[in-house]
Amino acid sequence: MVCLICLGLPCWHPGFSQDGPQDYREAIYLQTDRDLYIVGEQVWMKVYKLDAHGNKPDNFSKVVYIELLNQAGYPVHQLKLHVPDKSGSAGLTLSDTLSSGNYLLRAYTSWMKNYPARDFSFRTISLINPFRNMESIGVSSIQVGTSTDTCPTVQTDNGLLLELTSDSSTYGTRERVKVNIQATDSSGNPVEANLSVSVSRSCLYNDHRANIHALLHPSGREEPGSTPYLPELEGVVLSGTMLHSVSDEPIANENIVLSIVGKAARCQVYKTNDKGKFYFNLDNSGVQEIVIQPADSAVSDYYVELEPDFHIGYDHPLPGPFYLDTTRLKALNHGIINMQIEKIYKTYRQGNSAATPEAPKIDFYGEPEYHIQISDYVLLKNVREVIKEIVPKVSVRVSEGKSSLWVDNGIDDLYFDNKPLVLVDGVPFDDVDQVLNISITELERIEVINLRYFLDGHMFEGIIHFVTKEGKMAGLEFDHAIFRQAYAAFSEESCFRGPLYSSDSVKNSPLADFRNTLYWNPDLHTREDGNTNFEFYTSDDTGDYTVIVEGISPDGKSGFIYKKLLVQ
Amino acid sequence: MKYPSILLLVLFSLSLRAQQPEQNALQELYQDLLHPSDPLLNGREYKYYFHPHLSTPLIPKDLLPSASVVIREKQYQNVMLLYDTYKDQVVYYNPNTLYNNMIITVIVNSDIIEEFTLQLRSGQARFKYLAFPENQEGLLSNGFYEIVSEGACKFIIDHSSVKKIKEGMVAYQYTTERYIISSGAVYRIKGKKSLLKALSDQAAEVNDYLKRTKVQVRTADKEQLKEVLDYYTGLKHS
Repeated sequence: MVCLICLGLPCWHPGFSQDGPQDYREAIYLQTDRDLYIVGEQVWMKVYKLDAHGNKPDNFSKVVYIELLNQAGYPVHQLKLHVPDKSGSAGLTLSDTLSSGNYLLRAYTSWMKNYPARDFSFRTISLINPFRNMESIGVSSIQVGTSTDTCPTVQTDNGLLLELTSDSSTYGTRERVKVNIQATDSSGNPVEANLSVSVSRSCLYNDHRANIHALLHPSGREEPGSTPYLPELEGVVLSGTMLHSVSDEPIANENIVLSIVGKAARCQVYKTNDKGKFYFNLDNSGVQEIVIQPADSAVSDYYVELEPDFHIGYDHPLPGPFYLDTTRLKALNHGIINMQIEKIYKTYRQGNSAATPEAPKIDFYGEPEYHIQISDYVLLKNVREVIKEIVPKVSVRVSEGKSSLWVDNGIDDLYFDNKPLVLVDGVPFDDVDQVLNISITELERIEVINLRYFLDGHMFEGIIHFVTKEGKMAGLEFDHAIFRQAYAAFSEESCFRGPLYSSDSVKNSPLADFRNTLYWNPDLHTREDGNTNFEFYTSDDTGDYTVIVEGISPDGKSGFIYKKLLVQ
Repeated sequence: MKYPSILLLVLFSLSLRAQQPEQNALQELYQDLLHPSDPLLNGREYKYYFHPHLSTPLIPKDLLPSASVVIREKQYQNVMLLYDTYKDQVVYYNPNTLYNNMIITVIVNSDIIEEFTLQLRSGQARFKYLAFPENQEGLLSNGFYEIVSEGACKFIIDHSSVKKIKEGMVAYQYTTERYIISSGAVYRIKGKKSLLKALSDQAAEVNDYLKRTKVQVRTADKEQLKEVLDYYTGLKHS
């Protein structure tokens, strides 16, 4: 197997075979809540994962990469989304350091990186930064859209027909709006469609969008690129190479450990291949510190090269200059003021917020055999004394001035022949003297497994885990260079929540509500009869709003519809 | 090479969940590169029941390479698995894992097992880890249960053992108890009355069916009860 890996993936994997039609191709369909944003606002997005041969919704890769590129093709925002189902959603807060102009959102999976970047999914959005020089914005006299009092409905379809009906066409402020959606195929049969819905101020929406929503198709059969990327079927695949720091030679066939600094031990072991290459699967959300080191502490002279997560470069067109529609200047100015009011009041209102916090991670070894909570005992002088007096099945030995820990095996009350895996806040740490010098007041607990433990096929003769109160390794320092880096497998999740004015107390609240996006629901599904409905509340701001519904059917047909509403 | 015959037996064959062939091939590639080691070698060493005992709580009684297990959507067949019904642990035995000339047995981490299947004397039994919400009305704790039927309601069997002392020796008394999980509630099935209570929304029809087929709930085997529940599912869908 190792030999085959060394020969390169294209030679031995069926996915890279010469039988082109057998190649699996993925595609992404990217949607946004609107087209024009003011910096500081959030871009709400939905991605559908598709089988590119037929554009049917599919659920193969579990990670979707989203980048916002400026007009020079430089990424100014990057997200990694965990998408365990056929579609997923995200919110991206636009930095207020961005200049006004057109930007390109592109979305892809790791597997799609094997093919030309022009087959990624794209959407152009425009940004206005009212706090910076706006000379880069051109002014167009072309009328892009007109506000209307007739509240028309516009629809385009690629096989999925959508129909929108609202309980009224005009509404008051802080009033409930009820909308029904019906999805049918071209024969009029009901369809169980997967949809997204957004309701925004009409001036922030491009009327031409209805013509560009069609799904992107891969540009024909292409040979995969020279660097094969794996599909990511669980979490983010962290790959790289471990090399000797002096000779730059790969550290081949060596067990290496990936660990994450924190109160829970989350270690993985991987045996590098002949070229020193390794792969780990990561599923943590938010930025955390990872440590990669050889399992054998004797190998200390090394460095690690990680492969980039995101695609580098582009072979697709970049967004052109941004022309502001003069007929919308007044409305846009209104939207800019709204954004600033919203920024002040949003924090006082239960609105857009982070998704539910992640469940606490458990140690890779599950429940320990022995758990010593330091606060449960009389405060002893130091860790050495704690081990001697309280911690069962563990003893300290000193040889040639260096301390080591040994574990009494749980079967015949003899000590194991080899030293145990010693962890400090989840990270393997070999310098026992430093561990024994951790201030007793900083230590929270000690956990012991006095049995052989197998992790990814590698055996440890016992585990001792020291967990500090802060979970940050108590300032311990390795006696050799290690690979330690902040890393986010998945970006933090966020979900849209608008205020609910269902009760009088909330409806009469003095908190101002000037949302430019009234509603965003990325996960709406029509039922067996093709119908579904949703409701939302208008804000304090009057004017034209546009309801946009986009989606896809199980057989890969897409549909789009928008309808204007008037709040007065 | 100390156990060539056993080695041949435990070489597992694998199969993947129903997907397109090219996806299967990619999944295989992924598993080979991301998880190249034996996926069942994840867990702590299993402590045998060394003290004198009349019986152990391990099923099946004979260790044969006849079990299968699904880990990360991949099925491994012909593996040697035992289920400790006293400790609720899945024990993996592989003669390839020799350390100091000792064969190590491993308690496989329950969180990586999607399901496993054992060949018991009563037939094939498929087990899954079930976690019950803390506030759920019921009798069961989180753990592995045999899943017999997953139609309109779930029919599960709890395999467990109780430790007893008999004539100065330890004995593990092995029992099975049948449960139905319906609308979030757990019902222990002892006889006809408890079955009809669990299926109360179609009790009259199910009662007629029991009379017609002459099924005695108290003594019925799991296949007979499964047929009753299939009938119930049919009623719910009609």
